[in-house]
Amino acid sequence: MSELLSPEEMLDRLFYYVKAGRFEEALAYFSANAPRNHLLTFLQIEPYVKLPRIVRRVGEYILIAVKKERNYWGVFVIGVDDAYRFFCHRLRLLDVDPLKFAVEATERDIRQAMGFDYHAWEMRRTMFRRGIRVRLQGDLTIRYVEVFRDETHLYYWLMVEIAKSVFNLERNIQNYQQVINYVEMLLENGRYEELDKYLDRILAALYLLAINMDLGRMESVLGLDEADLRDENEFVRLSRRFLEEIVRTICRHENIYRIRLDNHILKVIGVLARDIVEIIELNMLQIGRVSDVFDTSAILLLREQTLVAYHDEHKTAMLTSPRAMIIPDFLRAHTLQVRRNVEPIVITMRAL
Amino acid sequence: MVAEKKGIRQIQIAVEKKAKLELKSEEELEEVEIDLSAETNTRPAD
Repeated sequence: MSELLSPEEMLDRLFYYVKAGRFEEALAYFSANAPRNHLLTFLQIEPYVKLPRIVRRVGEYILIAVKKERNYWGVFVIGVDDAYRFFCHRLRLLDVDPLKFAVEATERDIRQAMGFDYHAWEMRRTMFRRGIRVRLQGDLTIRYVEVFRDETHLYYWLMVEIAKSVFNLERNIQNYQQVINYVEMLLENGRYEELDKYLDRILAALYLLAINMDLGRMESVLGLDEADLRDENEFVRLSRRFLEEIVRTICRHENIYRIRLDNHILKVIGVLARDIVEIIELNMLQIGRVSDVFDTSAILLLREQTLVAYHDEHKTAMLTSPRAMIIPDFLRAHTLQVRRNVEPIVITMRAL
Repeated sequence: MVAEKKGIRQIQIAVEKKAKLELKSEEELEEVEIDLSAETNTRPAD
């Protein structure tokens, strides 16, 4: 950059050029302050062609919609990244009219279309909640599948999720959905003592229903013989011990992971969901399936920590995170978004 | 005075009862490198 401008000033200047149709200056300015792949995406607004365009300045972005062939509109978001470089993001709009979006979208709508809710630097402790997507660095995002208030919340959540799978509750309890809704309500409201007792009632119900389960697994994990499981109270007590043992095993799989996600490295302390699935599958007492919450790319954070991401262009970014189940992902982009290190196919007359 | 001490003890018991995860100490945590690039739902631009 020839002069030091704030991100807002950079965007204001670019916006002025584009809005005024001064595309030569816009292109020169963008090109001087953007990585090559983003410049190639920016060129898809076809600056040298006279086309109907909608150009808006929305919050921290410039939104440009270009009328392409027939009635199709390409929608682009331009912003400034954490390294003070322009990015140009071609949106993949699903179930949304692009023209309506171009005219009406708010900053929040733009973020959602890109695939995130907040930047890492905007996050405060109270903002973490189930489903939130945080943009950590460049196009790297962290989706929070579950957020835990404290260790007890995480502990009981794990106990319930494990119980669902190893005892195949969905199949074995008649009013399953009602029971689970009640369990979730107790969890959400931190009513752990009631939940503790309710969990025992669920296990007692399994015993009374005399469900055919492969108790050999439980016996071998806890070092029991068959006689130990013949009494209802003993069954409940030992089932609890069994679940606790599985939680313990999961905790023993916690490590410091340096996770490569294309050009990003994410450092987290946690347990890989794929390991949790394996542990649960090994201990299932009846054929069934492990809860969908353990997505293969998910990571369970058993402790509060600072997530650290490294990237050669974006350098280092950090996010202080509560205990949670997270899924690292990337911003959602159009298939024509030009990727770094991937040269677009250019068909020239000579090639033809 | 006795009642105060009893109160403190009860609080401590309640806190201990809540902390049930047996986490590894920091020294026990191992550093592991893995590649999850193929597992993500979307492809990155950068």
